[in-house]
Amino acid sequence: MSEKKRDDRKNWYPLDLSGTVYPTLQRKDYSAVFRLSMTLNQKIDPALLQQAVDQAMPRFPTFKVAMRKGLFWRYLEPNHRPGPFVREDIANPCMPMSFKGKSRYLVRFYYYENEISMEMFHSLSDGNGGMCLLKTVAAQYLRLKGVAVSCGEGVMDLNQEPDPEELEDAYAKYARSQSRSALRQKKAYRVRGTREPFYTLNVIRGVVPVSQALGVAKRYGVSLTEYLNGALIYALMCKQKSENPVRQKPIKLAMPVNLRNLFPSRTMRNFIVLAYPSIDPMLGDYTFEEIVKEVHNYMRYHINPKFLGADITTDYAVRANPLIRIVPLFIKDFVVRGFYVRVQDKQSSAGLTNMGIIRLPDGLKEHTERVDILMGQPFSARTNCAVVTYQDQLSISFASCIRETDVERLFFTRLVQDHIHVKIETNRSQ
Amino acid sequence: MSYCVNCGVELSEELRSCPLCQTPVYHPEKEKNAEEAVPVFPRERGEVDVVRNDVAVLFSVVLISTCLACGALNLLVFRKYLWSVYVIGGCGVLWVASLPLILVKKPHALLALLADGMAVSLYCALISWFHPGKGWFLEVALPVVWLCVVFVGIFVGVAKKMKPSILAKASLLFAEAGIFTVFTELVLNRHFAGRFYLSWSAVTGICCFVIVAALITIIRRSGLREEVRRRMHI
Repeated sequence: MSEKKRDDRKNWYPLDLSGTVYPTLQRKDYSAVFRLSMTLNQKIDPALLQQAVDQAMPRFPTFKVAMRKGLFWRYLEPNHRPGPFVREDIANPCMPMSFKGKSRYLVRFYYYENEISMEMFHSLSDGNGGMCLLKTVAAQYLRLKGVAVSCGEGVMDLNQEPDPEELEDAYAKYARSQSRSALRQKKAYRVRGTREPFYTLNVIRGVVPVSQALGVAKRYGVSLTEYLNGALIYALMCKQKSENPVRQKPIKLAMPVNLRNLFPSRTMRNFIVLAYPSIDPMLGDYTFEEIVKEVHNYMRYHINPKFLGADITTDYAVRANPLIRIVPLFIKDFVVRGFYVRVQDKQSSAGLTNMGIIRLPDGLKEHTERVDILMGQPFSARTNCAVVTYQDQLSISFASCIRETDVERLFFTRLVQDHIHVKIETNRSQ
Repeated sequence: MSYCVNCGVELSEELRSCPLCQTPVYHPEKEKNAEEAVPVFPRERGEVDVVRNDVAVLFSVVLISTCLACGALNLLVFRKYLWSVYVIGGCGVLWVASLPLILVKKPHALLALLADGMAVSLYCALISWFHPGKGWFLEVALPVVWLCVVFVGIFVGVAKKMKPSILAKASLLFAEAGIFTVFTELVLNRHFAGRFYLSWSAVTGICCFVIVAALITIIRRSGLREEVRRRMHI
């Protein structure tokens, strides 16, 4: 048996806690794929980018993998097929990702003009892990172009072996809480819209000066994330009100929280948990100021290691239960998908993720003009919002598979009302 | 630089209307700039590479092994009749019918239908080889199979090209069903009794005719059409 094959037998990775759910939701027209992009100050050379990808991928053993099915769980096994191959970018990002595609990679790389984009299946990692790969590829690309780029700030040293902590399932390490939180929550308002045909993902991106947005958030006495959450809740509240429902439902956002900020870990794999800032319009009419305050209070109360530790312990306990572990995979798939469709998906009105500030090392920083993030196709007919900050640019990208743009319009006009300059870009056909 | 007069947002160079509220952009320099500006997002659309060969290979292997197993059983164990020929022929028809659906993402409906018609005709020819009877293959099987192919072809063609309403589709379906039953009985009676006459198919034909007349009336009278739409909505 060859050395490589013998290594593969040892180096397989069970899916982490979040990663377990996404493959069960896989449909012909849906995959949990997110996209990260970096715009450089020069046109991308595809041949050099391919070289950079080929050199960077082996440094990330949990990304150079293929998804396989076991009897009880899915797992990731090292993938030695050629690839992933860089491709010219397309108008419909975050296409479904087949587990049985030709190369079986769960990562895609695209180039378009000055932009390098990377799409990743969510079972491999969250935005933070994905950003490390993209930064490393971009840094290596610039090195091949003759630019000196240092390591650090997420750019990995390609000559260094991966640290075992980068490959760990951090959920298992920190699921130690004595308390459990509720698995079910109240059903939230859901945006109804006309579904677009297959292979259509509508993106509306607003680019905002960070200094202006921060100034406005400061005026309300909240953080930028809280302000943006408030604006999205406000947009959804206006949308629900315009539909004149008999009984208004709570407006809830599903907001992934990066647990690395609360629990020290350098894992490259998923380490997020969902928080649900919300308002209940049945309690009365909310002004925008009240919504922002409500979100602020929720965040201050919930986003701490105690509450979030209980959340991950609850989810982990389900997975670690011996009775659940011995259930065959196809039954687990059936049950998890049913739970997600009937409960999880219905308990939020939209998704909002904030990647925070992207910091780049010397060399890469000077050549990078913008960073964008796209949360990918929503599971149901609604819209998802992803936010990232790089230098003085705040990129807010809405991804939706519905035709209507009411939520996006209400959100961005709210920002304009607060005297924030918004520049709109879209892939929608005009 | 253009702004939406309704939303107040700045719009990227290539946009001709605001994507948020669809308000058109009026800018004297716009036309010139729009052609010069590089679009922010690419225009080419992508599609997923789906490996369909595996399913096709699996399906073919299952059918071939069924044929081989039945053939071997027929030759070695149950040797009284050549029964395995019917199984092998059936597998062949199934293979021809399913392969375009498995291999091609968007199979050409009329070509697939033509192949299905030929496969069923060949299967009937195979059976008539062993049981020629009084020429049932040429007198009954071929006309019935090919009338069926023609009718399905007309239905699929009309549904794809003209995109008719559900009521129009239903009336076409009932009209075809009525004609098909009458034709089938005429052909059968000609073969078995030696002359053309109608019995049971007159009833089904008249039922279909009444339904078609009612559906056409509903389609042509907008009040009736709306009433049906209101009461039958799902």
